[in-house]
Amino acid sequence: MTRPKRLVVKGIGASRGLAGGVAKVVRTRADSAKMAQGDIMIAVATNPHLAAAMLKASAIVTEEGGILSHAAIVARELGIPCVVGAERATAILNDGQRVLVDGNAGHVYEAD
Amino acid sequence: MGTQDMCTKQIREFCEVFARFMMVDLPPDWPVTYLEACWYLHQAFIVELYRSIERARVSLSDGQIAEMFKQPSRVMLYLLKFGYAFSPLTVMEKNRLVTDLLSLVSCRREGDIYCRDGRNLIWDVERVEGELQSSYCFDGALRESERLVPLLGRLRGRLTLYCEAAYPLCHPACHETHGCYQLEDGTILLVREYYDLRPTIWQFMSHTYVESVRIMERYRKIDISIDMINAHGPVTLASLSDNLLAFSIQANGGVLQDASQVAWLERTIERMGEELNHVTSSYSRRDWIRKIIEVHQYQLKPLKEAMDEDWRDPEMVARVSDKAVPTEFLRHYNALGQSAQLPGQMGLPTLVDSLMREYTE
Repeated sequence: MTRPKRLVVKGIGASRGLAGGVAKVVRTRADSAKMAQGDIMIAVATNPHLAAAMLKASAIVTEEGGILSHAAIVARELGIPCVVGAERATAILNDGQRVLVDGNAGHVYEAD
Repeated sequence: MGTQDMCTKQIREFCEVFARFMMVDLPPDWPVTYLEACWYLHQAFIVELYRSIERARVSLSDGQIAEMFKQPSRVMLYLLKFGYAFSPLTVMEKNRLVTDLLSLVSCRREGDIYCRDGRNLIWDVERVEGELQSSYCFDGALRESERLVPLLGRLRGRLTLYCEAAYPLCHPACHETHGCYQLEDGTILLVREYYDLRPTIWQFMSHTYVESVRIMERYRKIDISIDMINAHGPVTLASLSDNLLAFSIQANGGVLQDASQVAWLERTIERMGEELNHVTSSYSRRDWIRKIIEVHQYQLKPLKEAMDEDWRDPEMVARVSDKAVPTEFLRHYNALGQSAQLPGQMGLPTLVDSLMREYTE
């Protein structure tokens, strides 16, 4: 089980739920290849070109957008947590880092 | 109130709704910006849309024409296109097109045509009851199996992303979410329809495919809001999965009976999406523009065929997609976009007046 250690990024909760996993920063379509099933997708924003990564994610965190953004809409359809408007998330979070995403509060924690 | 006054009132109401919609959100700028796509559509589609409806009205009722557009969000989407200020249509034609399209939407929607109450009501009470009785529900299985709810989520997500790829910049043209319908036992029903999933503008290799999917979801009484073109999906502060009581799925009109059939459906959509991605992975900007135009022309297929006309116009697509969007057009709408970004409702009056001028001057 993933346990939170400290709050690292704050944003807006756009799709409810909790999910823990390994963070992967996705900037381009090619980056989708590094996502494994259940990873946490970290992006500036999403668009349909990043579909492959979104479908593998157990949660999505984006720097841009609000509750009606593309990431938020798709996450709600998928039924996975989503935090949007998480400033500098792609700079703060690194590939391979374990994180816990709280889609209710809009928080992202560094995790065990 | 005279006919002209009624028309002006109707257009002003529409402009207010459009302006509010602009202030909330616009589609992601993929594969080209929405604004650019609108310009191309005004050159290659909107005029033909207007002429086709006018010709069809000679022999068909509004109800019959509305049926040919299949779902109301598809029609509403034509209204939410920027560019009427630069349209080749006359003021009278623009007026007529807006009122025609609103009339078609009203033929299909039982409630507010703009869904301002958060509901998109298409079925009447009898239809709701009939559909519920004729469809197998994963209710008992839902309680027994934790596997089904994530499966449903993945299916919905996959369908949404597939629609976005197959209908670039206009995915509500193949996706209608309607409801929520109040049921007698105090629960609510949400219906998601995915249709025309295999438009002939795309070349698919596989012979196994789905053309339509319907997902009916019954929830505890929670607040769920749906917008007029289903652009944002069902929006709620509550957890959908925690409040889901039962659901049913139909594919190509047949009811799915167990989890393995749901998994089959998900794999089929996945494969269709992969085929599409394979084709589009090397697409240039011009290729995308052609597809955006073609996928709109395709939506006229039933209407055109009813009038013994060809819906395709490859020469027009080639001619228009070679053009560049005029700077003047981009400057005009970027200025409008800045009004939409003003805090609170500050930009609303300016936006409404500007949009109003596009249809009346």
